[in-house]
Amino acid sequence: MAKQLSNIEKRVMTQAEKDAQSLGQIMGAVTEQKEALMVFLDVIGELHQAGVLETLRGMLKSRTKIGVIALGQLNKSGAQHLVRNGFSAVQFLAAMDPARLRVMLDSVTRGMEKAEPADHRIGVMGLMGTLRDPEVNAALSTMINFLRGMGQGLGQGAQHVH
Amino acid sequence: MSEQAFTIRVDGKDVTCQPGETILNAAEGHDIRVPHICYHRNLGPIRTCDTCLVDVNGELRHSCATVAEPGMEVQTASKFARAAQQEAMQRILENHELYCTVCDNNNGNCRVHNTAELLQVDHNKYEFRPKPYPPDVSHPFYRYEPDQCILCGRCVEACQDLQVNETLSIDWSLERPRVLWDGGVPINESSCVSCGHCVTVCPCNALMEKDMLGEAGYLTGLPNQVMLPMIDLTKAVEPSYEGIFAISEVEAAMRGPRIKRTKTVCTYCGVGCSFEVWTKDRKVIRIEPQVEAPANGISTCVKGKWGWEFVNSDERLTAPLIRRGDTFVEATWDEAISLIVERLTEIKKKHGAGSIGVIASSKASNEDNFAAQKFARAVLGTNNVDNCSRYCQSPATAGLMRTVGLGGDAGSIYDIASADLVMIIGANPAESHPVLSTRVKRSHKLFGQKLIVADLRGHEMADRADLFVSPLPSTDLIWLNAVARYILDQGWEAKEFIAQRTNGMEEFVKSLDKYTIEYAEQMTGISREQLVKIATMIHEADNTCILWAMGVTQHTMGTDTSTAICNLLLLTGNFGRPGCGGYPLRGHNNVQGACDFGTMPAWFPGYEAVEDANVRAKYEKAWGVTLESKPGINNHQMVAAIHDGHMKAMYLFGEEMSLVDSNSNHVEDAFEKLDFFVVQDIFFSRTARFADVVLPAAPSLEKDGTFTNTERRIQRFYKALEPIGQAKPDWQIFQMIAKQMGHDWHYTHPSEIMAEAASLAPIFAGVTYERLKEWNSLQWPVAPDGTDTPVLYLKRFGFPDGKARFFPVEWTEPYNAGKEYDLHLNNGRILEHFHEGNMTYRNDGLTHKVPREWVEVSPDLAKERGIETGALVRLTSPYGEIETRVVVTERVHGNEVYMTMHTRDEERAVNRLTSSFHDRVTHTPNYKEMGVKMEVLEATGEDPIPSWNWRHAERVPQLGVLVEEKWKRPDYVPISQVLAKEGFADGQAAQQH
Repeated sequence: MAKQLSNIEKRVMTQAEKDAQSLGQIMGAVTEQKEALMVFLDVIGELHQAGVLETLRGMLKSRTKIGVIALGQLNKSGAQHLVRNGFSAVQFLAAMDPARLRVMLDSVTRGMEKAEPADHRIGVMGLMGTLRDPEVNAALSTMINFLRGMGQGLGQGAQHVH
Repeated sequence: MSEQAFTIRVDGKDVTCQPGETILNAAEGHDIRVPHICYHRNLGPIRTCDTCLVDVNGELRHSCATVAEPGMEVQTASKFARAAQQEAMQRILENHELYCTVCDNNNGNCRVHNTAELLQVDHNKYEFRPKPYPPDVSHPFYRYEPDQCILCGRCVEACQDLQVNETLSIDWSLERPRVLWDGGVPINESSCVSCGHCVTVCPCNALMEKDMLGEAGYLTGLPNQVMLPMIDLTKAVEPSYEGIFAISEVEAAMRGPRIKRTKTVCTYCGVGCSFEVWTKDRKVIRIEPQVEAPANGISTCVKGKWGWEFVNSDERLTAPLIRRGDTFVEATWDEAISLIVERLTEIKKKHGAGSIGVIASSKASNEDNFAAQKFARAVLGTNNVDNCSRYCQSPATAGLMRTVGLGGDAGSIYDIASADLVMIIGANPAESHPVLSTRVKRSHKLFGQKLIVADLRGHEMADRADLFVSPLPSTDLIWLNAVARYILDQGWEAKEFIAQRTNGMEEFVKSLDKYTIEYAEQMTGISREQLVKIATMIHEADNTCILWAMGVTQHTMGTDTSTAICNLLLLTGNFGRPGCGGYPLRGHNNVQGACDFGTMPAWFPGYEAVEDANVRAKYEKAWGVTLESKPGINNHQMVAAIHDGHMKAMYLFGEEMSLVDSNSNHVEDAFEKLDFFVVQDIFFSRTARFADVVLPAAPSLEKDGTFTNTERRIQRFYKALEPIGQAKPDWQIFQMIAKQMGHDWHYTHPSEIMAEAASLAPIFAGVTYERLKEWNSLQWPVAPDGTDTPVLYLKRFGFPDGKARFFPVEWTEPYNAGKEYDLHLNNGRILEHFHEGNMTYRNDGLTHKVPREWVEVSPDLAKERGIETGALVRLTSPYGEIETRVVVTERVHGNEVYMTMHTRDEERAVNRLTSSFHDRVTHTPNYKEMGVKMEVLEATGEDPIPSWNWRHAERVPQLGVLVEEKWKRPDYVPISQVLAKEGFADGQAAQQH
C-alpha cells in the first residue's frame, strides 16, 4: 500500500564531508604526479623570486583592459606596418633558397673580412684594372644580375600590392 | 547499371560515369577535387555560387548541374577554369569576411573556408561590403548574421524542397539581397518549425546554433570590445589569406580535443535519425547531421536538433532513492539493490513468480530490453514482461503478422519516398514523424508523388494532400473494405500476384459483401465520389505505400483496421516489391527494438513464441535455467491483476505509465496497491512517486547501445557523456540485481549482449557491433553473413508456405461513452514535445515555443458555446475530468475536439479522460474512442499557443532559391563575360548556365 510521495531527502554532504572528498581526490592526483609536481613547484619558486608571478597576476586580472589597449595600439597604422612587415620579412626569408642564401651570406662574410680601410684613393684606371680581377668580376656580375631581377620585380610587382 | 557506364576525360584522366551522373559527382568519385560551395549531396545543384564552374569542351559549365555525356573533355583546374572559379570565390568574399580564427564555424568543416583555401585565394578582388541589416537573434535556438551570408541559397533549398516547410526565401530584387523568413518577419515570429535544416546546411557562420556561439573556438568567447578590434587587426595586417588559413587551421585542429564529436541516434520518435553530437565538457553545443546517416541524411526536427538540454537538468536522478515513511531517502547502490533482491525474493516465494511484472522501455536500448526480458524470464521466472508498444503499435504488428507474417515496416523511408502514391491514415507524420514526413512532402512537391490523407483532423499533411477525407471516428475499417470491394468490382485487383503469392482470397471476397460504396458512404460520411477516387488512385499508381499510426491502432478494432489496410495492399499487389507496402509509423525511438528484443509476454527476442518448446530449450541451454512455458500477461492485464490482487510487485523502467497509460486514475490506484514497486528512470517521474525504490538510469547520450527504428533498422549509438552522478545504464542495473540473485551474466559491454541475442534469435543472426560501426546499419532479418533486408517479402512472405494471407475482418461498434458526452475526444502529439514532456519541457527553447497543452475546438462548436481561443474549459468523461485552454481552429470540425497529450500536470492530462477499453486482440487502449462534455469556465483568455509559434504564421512556398531571379538582376554579370574582358575570350566561354 504505497501512497504517492514526492518528498525527496537528498543526502546532503556537510561542508566537512565535501572538503574531505575534494581533498581525497586532490591527494590521489598529487601522489600520482609526484615527480612532475616537485619540478613544477621548483619552477614556481624561481618564477616567484624573479617577480614574474606578480607581474603575470597583474596582467591576468586586467586582461580585458590590457587587450583593449594592446589592440588599440596595434591597430594604429604604424603598428600595423610593423606587424605586417614582420609577416613580410618572414615570408621573404621563407621564399629564399637556403643553399643559395648560404653561398651569398658566406660571400658577404668573406667580403667583410677583406674590407679593410683603404690607405690610398683608387683611380678610375685602377677601378677598370680591378675588373680584370676574376673575384671582383664575379661579385660584380652577380650584383648586376641581382639588380636586373630587382628591376623586373619593381616593374610588375606594383599592381600586386593591395 | 554499369553496362551503360561510359567514360569522359577529366583533367586528362579517364573517368567512368553512370548515366545521369553529373560531372562533379563523377570527378569526385575519382578523387578529383572540384571546388564547390552551394552544391550539397542532399540538396542537389543550386547554381548560385559558381565556384564549381569547369571547362567543358571549351565552355564554362556548372559541374554540379551538368550531366556527363560521352565524349566530354573536362578541365577542372586549367587556367581558364581556375580563373572562373576565382572570380566566383571573389564575389562570395564580397559578402563574407574571413576572420576564421575567431569564428565559431572554424571546425575543419567550413565549406567557404575550405573552398577559398583550395582555390588558394590570397587577396580580395572586391572589397567586403557589410549588408544594411542587423543580425536576427530572435529565435531561441539559432541566429542569422546577414553580413556573413554569401547568398548561396542552401538554407532556402533545404527549407523549401527538403524539409518542405517553405519559410525561407532570398529576395533577389532587394538592392542587397538577404535570406528572409516568411518574406520578411523576425525568425521567431515566422512559420519556421525550428527543424534546423538551414543551420545545418549553411556553408559558413551566417546561420549558427546559439549554443555554438562563443563556445566553439579558443578566441570566439572574447568580449566584443576585444573581438572587434582583433578582427580589424587580422584584416589589416594579414599578408595574404594563406597566412590566415594556416593559423585558422591550427586553431581548428586545436579545437579537436576540446569538442568531442560522437555519433548518436535520436532518442525521440521512431524515424531513427542519427547524427553527430558535439559536446564540450557536459554541454551539448551542436547536433551535426551527416549525409551518411541512413534514415535521415542531414535532416532533423526541432527535438532532434535542439532537444538535449534534459541530460543536464538539475532534476536528473543522481542517486538511488528508497521510500522511508513519507519520504524518499537517497541511498547507495548496495542498499537499494539489497532491498530489491530481498523484497522480490520474498514476494516470489510467497506469491509465485507470476505475481511480479516487468514494464520495459521503448526509450531504452535493444540491449537494455534484452537484459530486462532475460531478467524477467531467467531470474524472476516469469513471462510477465511488456513494453509501451502495448499503448500504440501492437495492433499494427498483429495486423501485419496475420497477413504478411512479420511485424515490421515493409521497406525503408527510401521506399516511401519513391512510391507513386502514399496514403496516410490516422497519422500526422508532419508532427509525429517529422523527418519521415519531409520525404513525402518532397516527393509530393517535386516528383509528382500523389498523396491521400484520411484523418479526423485537417493537419499539415491533409492540407498538402491531393485528396483529404475525414471519416467519422472509428470507421476506417468500413471505407477500407469498401474501397477493396470497389476495386474487385472493377476487376482492378492484382490477379497474378494474388494467385501466386497469397492464400484466402475467396473467403476475403465473401467477407466484403456488405461493404458497398453506399454502406460506406452512409457509415463513414465519405462521399461516393471520394471513395471511388481513392480506389482509382490506388489502381492508377504502380506503387502504393500506406502509412498509419495511432489514429488506426488506438481503437477497439485497432488490429482489425490494421488488417484491413494489409488486405487492401495485398489485393492490389502492393507488398513484396520496392516502393510499396504497409508502414505503421513507430512512435518511440526504440519501440520497434523493445518488441524485437523480447520485452513481450508471448515472445522471445526475434518473435519466437515462448510456447514453442524448441525455442525455450534453446534459451534454457544458453541461460542455464528452466523457463516458464506459458505466455505472461501484458501491461493492461498487469494493471487489472494488481487490482484483483494477483500481482504484488512491479519493476518498471523508462516509462511514465501514470500519465501515458489510458484511464490513468485507474492505473495510479493500482500502483498504490502494489506491495513493492521499483521505478528506474532518468527523472523522478510521476510514476516514481508510487515506488518503493527509485533507481537513476542513464539516457542514450550516456551509454553505448543500439536502437531499431520504424524501418527495422538497427543503428549504433556511442557514449558521448559519462553518466551523471551515480546513474547507470539500464542493462548494468539489471545485471547487478541478477548477480545478487545468483545469476552472473558477465557482460562488460552492450556488444556482448547483442552477440548473445544474435546467437539466439535467427532474425538477428548476422548482427554484430562491428557491422554496425559508425554510420552502418542493418535492417532485420539479418542473415549470418551480415546480409540484411531493406525490403521485406521480395521472395517469400513470413509464413511457412511463403504466401501471404488475406484475413477477413468485420466492423464492430466502437466504445460509446453515452449521450451526455456529446463531443468526440481525439488526442495526440504535437511537434515540439514528446510524450508527457519529461524531456522536452526541461528545454527552455521548446517550452518557449509551446509552454503547455491545449484542446482544439472547431469554429462551429466555439460559436455554439460562445467561446474564443484562450477560453478555459472543463472536459469530463465517465473516467475523470481535466481543465485546459481552448484553441479555436479549422483543423477540427463539428463536435470533434482534439487534445494535445503533452503535459506533466496530471490535472491537465488527457489520460484522466480515457478509458480502459481496448483493442480486442492486443489490449491496446482505445485512446481515440472517448466522449466528453465541455463546461465553459472562462469564455476568453490567453491563447495557449504563443504568438511566436509557427502555427500562427503563413508559409511562403516556392521552388528552391529561384537562381534565375539572381541572373536577371541588372548588376549580375556572367562570369564568362568578366573572363572575356580579362583575355579569356578566344572561343572559350561563350556561355555559362
